[in-house]
Amino acid sequence: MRTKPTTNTPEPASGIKKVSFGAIGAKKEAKKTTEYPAYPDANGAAAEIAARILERTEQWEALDSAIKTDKAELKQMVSPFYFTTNSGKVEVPSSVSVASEKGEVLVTYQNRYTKIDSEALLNSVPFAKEYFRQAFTLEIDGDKIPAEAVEELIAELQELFGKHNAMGALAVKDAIKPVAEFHTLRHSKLTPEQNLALDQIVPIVAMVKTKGRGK
Amino acid sequence: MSYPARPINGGPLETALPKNGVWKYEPKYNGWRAMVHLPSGAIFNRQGETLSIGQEFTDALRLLCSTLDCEAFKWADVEALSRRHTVGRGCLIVLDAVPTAYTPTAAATYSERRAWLDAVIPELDLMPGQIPLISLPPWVYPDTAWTDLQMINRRLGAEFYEGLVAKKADQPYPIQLLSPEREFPFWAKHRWKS
Repeated sequence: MRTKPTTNTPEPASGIKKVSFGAIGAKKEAKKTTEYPAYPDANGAAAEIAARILERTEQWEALDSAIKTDKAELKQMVSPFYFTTNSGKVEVPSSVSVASEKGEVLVTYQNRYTKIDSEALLNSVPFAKEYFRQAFTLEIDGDKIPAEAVEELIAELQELFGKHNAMGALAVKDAIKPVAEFHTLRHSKLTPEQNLALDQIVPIVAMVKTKGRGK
Repeated sequence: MSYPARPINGGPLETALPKNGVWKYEPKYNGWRAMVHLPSGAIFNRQGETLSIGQEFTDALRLLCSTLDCEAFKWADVEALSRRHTVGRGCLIVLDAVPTAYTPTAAATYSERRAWLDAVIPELDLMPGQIPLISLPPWVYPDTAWTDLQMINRRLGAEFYEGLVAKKADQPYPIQLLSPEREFPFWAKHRWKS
């Protein structure tokens, strides 16, 4: 980790005393931060948890990034072997085993590929083109169909897909979701008790954020 | 074009775990990440859209394109200094040269690419006095730079530096057109502010 620079060694800032900044460095007005109501944390229990979250988040970031780099490096190391050892095989094992004194690690190659948006990406590897095809999901925004036409249109769609023996390609994703103003209305129209009761059924998504507002 | 290499978040340097292999550390500058198309001088933001404040870098772009005019690179990965503070407005810090995919130069390591850039672009002083229109970030000792850069920020009265970026010396540039959000695990940023 302690890499030595191979170019000019920077002077410690403490040794650089007299520099004329000229017009640079003028302070700009501090960015205003939104004022939020503070949780009345009488016994400091919430503050204790908040501090723990911040501290552990930093530890987690360090660990997470180190693991990401290690995994990428291991994959980079093993991949040439994976393609070499399996070259010409019809049945290819999914993984390569890497033994260590702490145990085994598998580098697994799943039958999943990152989606690419443009065929142009394959131009530089023309040999690969025959192995790729267009795949799509057609979506219909039901909100934009005139209400009086919905039933007829759906029926016609089903008929059309049925005619081509492609009913399996039609998929519907539906869900119950709150009206647009619900997030505001719930506070003005419902009591806290009602909101808590509702939250048991339709929980509000809440995240603990540790980024973006400084310390 | 490729999206600019996006470093993973390594957290503050104090908590960072030891890194394997040779890594070079550069200051992390507070600016706009951008990609410059060297043959045309067009400048794009991290998402691949035309940089809305691109006209503020006309002189720097002209100089950069004439300086790096060669077959090996068509793109430069830069930090564009503007608006977030007053230091070095209109200047470009060249973070890397981006080789063309599937050409022999695509395998060039970070150290090799940097050596090419070193030959033609000056390195920026840690304490920025007169900032050149185009410059390279200096390599620094992470331990001392971590505190020195914060001290320089205080002297400048500006958040010129945001932390450090570590780059693994033996890695090629991650040319990718899939997503601007895709991280490159061989670059790690260490910021002092969350």
